[in-house]
Amino acid sequence: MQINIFFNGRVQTLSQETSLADFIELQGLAQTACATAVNGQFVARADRIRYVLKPQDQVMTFEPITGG
Amino acid sequence: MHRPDTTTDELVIGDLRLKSRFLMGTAGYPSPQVLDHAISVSGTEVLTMGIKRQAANVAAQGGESWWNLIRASGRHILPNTAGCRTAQEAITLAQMARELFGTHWIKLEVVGDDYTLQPDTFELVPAAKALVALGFEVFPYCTEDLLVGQRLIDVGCRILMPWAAPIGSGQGLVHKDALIRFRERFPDTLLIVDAGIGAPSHACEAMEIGFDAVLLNSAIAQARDPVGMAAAFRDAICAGRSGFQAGIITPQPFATPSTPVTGQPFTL
Repeated sequence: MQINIFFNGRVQTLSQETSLADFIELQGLAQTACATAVNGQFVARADRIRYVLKPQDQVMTFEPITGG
Repeated sequence: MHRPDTTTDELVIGDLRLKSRFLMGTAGYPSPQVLDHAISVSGTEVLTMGIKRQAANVAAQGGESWWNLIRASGRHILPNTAGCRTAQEAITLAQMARELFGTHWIKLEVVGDDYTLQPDTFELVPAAKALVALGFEVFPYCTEDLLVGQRLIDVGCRILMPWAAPIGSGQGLVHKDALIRFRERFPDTLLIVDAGIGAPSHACEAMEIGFDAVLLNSAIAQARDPVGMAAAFRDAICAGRSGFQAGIITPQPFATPSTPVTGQPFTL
C-alpha cells in the first residue's frame, strides 16, 4: 500500500495505514504542540487517533504565534 | 498619579475579574526580552496571540521561544483569528485556538478588505453565532456600526470591540461621535476599543467616553521605546477611566467665569 497526502502543502508518501496521530508523531511534533486540520476541517487532538489518512488528504498543522 | 480603585472598579469578563483595563497585543516586538519587560510594566492581565499554519519542514519553526515567554507570564490569553476571510475559516481557527491555548475566549477577526483590514461584518455575525453556540466567549472585532453591534448582541456576544481606526494606522478615534453613540446604545455590553490607537491620549480618550477597556499592539511594539510606551499607555488608560468615573463636564460654546468675583475688580 502506498498513498500520497499533502502535509502543509508538500507531498508525502505513506507506505502503510497511518492515523493522523501517528503521522504527527512521524513529523517529530508533540501532540500538544500543534492543532490539526484535514481538508480544511478541524480535527481535535482526541480524534486524531481515529482519523486514518486517505489518498490526497490535505493535512495542515498550526502553532501559536504572537498576535495583536 | 491618582488611579482608579481597582478593588472595586474591576473589569469583569465572564467569571473573571481583572484589575487592568489594558489588553495588549504581542506581535512585532524587537525581542522577546523587550516584550517581557513591556508586559510587566503595562500591568496588563490579557495578552492577544495568533495562530499560523506551519511550514512543511516543521523542524525549522522558531516561534516557540515567544510562546514560552508569554505562557510563563501567567497572563490570560486572548487568541485571535487573524487572517481569516470567511466565517468558516474563523470558526475552524477558533476551535484550534481553544485547543492550543486552553481558553474559550476568542478575538473574532474576519477581514473583508485588504487595504483597510476592515471587518467583514456580513461574515462576522454568522461566525459569532456559531462560536457562541460552540461555547466560546466571543470578542468580535467590528466596526462602529450600531446595527452590526446589535446583531452581534442578538447572536449572544457579551463583548463588542469596535475599531478606532484601521489596524496599525495609529490614527486614533477617527469617528469619535460614532463611538460615543455606540456606548450610549449598548450601556450593558462590555465595550473595548480595538485597533487604530496610536498615542496614549487616544487610549485616554476612549476611556473618557466610557469604554471599558482598550486593546492595542502596534503603538507599543513599534515605539522607539516599547517599554516606556507600555508605561505611558498604562497611565493614560487609568487617567481616562478616572476621568470618566469622576464625571467630565459638558462642553459649552460660551465662557463661564471660574473665579467667583462680583462685577469688575476696579469698577464700583
